[in-house]
Amino acid sequence: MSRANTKISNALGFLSVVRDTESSRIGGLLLINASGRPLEFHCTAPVKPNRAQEILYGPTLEEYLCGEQIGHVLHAEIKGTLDLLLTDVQEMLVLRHLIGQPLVLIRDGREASGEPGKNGDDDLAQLVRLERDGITIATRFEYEQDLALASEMIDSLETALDLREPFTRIHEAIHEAQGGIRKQTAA
Amino acid sequence: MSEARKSQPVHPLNSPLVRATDLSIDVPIYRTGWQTALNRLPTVVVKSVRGDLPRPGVVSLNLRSAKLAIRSFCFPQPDTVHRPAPKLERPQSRCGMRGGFNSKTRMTPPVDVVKLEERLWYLLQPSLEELLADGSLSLPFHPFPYQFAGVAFLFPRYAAVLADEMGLGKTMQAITALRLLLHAGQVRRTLLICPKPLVTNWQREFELWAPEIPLSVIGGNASSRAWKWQLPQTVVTIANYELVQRDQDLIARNTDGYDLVVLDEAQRIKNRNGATAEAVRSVSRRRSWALTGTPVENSVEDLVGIFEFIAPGHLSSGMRPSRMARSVKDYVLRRTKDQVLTDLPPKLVRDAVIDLTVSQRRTYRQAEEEGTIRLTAMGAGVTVTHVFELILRLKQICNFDPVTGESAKADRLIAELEEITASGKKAIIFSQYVATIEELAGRLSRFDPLEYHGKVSNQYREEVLRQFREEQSKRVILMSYGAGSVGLNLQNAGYVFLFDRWWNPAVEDQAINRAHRIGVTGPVTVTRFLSQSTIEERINEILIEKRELFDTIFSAQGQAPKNMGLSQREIFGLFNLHSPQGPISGSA
Repeated sequence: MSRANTKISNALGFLSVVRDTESSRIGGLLLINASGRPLEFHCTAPVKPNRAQEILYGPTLEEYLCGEQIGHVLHAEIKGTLDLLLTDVQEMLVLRHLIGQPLVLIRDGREASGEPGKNGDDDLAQLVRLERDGITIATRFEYEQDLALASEMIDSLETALDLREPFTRIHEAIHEAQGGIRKQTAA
Repeated sequence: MSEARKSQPVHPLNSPLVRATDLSIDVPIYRTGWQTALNRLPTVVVKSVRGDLPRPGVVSLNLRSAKLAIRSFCFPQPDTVHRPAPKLERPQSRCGMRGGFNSKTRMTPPVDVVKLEERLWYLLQPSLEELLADGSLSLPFHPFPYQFAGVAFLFPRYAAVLADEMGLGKTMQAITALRLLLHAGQVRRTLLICPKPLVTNWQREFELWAPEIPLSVIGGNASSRAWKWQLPQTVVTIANYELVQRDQDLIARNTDGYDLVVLDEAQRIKNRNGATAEAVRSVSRRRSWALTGTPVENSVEDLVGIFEFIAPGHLSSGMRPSRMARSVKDYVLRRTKDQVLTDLPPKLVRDAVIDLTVSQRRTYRQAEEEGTIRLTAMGAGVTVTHVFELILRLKQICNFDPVTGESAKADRLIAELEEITASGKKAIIFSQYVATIEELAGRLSRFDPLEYHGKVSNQYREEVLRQFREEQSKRVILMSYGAGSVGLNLQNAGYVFLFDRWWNPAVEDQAINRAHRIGVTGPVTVTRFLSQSTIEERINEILIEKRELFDTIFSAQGQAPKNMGLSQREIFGLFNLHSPQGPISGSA
């Protein structure tokens, strides 16, 4: 798809999951504009799988929780227009089956290239990917076109965004929101 | 057996003769009792078995989770807010473009922001470096990391005191934070209040750091000012303290108020009951920022006065310094050059102990004895003013002997300036007294000194500063502490002389930092003249105590020295006099 044909409103969604406890997960979705300013933020209550889910979903439990449960619900909450969804959780890629927008995984380039002590190629072996500006962008083979779309959208941004940085914001906001909720509950 | 025989193949030729013999043996069965069962027909019993087995029990496990609870926050966008159009084109080579910054400075919401949505809005902002990478927000120079931290401190705060040491760029940090708030649509109207001599300095700094922001400077006659105060579209209004006080009623007519009021040199409102402080506090506003390098000049009460503006009631009079230090922690940001500017050329401070000339010493002793006798004779009628008068007289004798005109300080200064000017360097000389400056100007005529003090007209002051900055032949400038100690940038001076000592170390620091600040290219040598065995030595001891007081409030430990204030008793003690105790303000 040529850039001229790409209609971009420059709203990027960043989707992440943090572990509240060993088995509890909290999802967060941050929608930002082209300047990186926040447009929307949505976060879930803690999600804890029950024992049956742990046994029966087996190795697919994370995909179920992250993609089908957390990711899908958060995506449904978006009020504005979403052009591209980015995640730092590989298991979230299963969400792509359920949504219409491109979804890509963002990894630190060194991490993805398999430096010692890091998750290497094996981790992303089942994905199609490209490297740009020190980061790896990956997606499922069946959605290979998402890579080109994502790359084009990122290039079209006027401001050079560090695509890893918004995930830090999400993590901090989740902790803040959880703290705030706890305070409100205690009050 | 016979059947077997019949089935044998027939061989027509030469077939051997086969005789069949019946070997069957009749075996008679004798019926006995027990053998009858052999002839009995078997009994067939039929059992019916049902084909539908009982339904097994089923346990259903619900693998679908309950509907997730979601918290959603939508943030307002600045597009609906007035965004000032750029006035100037900026060169593309300026910093802030792609890849301009490597570090990341994030904002964190202050403790007094309690609404979760607002806290998240601050927390979810991109790093300042990324915000400033936006083409419309580029900066002329690459800020220091601590300056980014200062901007990140101011941006989310409704009440803040930026108390960086002089020369660290409070102006730039305030302008940049204001600029970001404007672009984020968080503020529309800002009032900046500063001392009158600094108005043009602020205009210059805005032109440098935020040229797209339209300014309105309050001035002119009453009707002109009234018109300017009511201009609805003004983004940033600059006014001096005197005009804010004078136009208090005009400002009050502005019912919309200001989104932000910034006080520069906020120590001007340290006196809570002063007319200036009351006028400033009466301005309707949502955010209140105070900029000062000396939040505590004389006593901790100074800080209480500033807090009455930024967060009324947060501090109270009589608070213990250690408790005050904890209370102001989230509101005050204070950094010193030693902490953040490790690359800044050093500031070398030396005390030049001066031995008065013979005639000076004679005059001094005579004045001190007479003055002390006179004060003693006044008994209970003696006041602080009387003491100050004597201090003033003695300090002036230390500068120049009024009888002979001799001055050991001036002699020493001339010797130093010979060397400084010969090496192509420049020097600033501070004095408390205009009369001393004028006297020095005559003595130093060979150096063609410039003068900058209260008697120099406002129109000519800028020209004086320009000459000192730009003209090679102008190597010496004589300044009064009052006119030249705040807000001026004179980094081209490598030498600073404190010809006499101000009562307050913070004022001295301000004076020194005109030269020792960002942009200075070499070390700054500060020479503090101190006349031996005079009132100046005793005052110096008081200055040391005052420094301890300042460090108490803004140090991590917050342990206060017991004897931190300057009481009347101590003032009178300079001359071994006794007086009623109590706090004292003013300067000698």
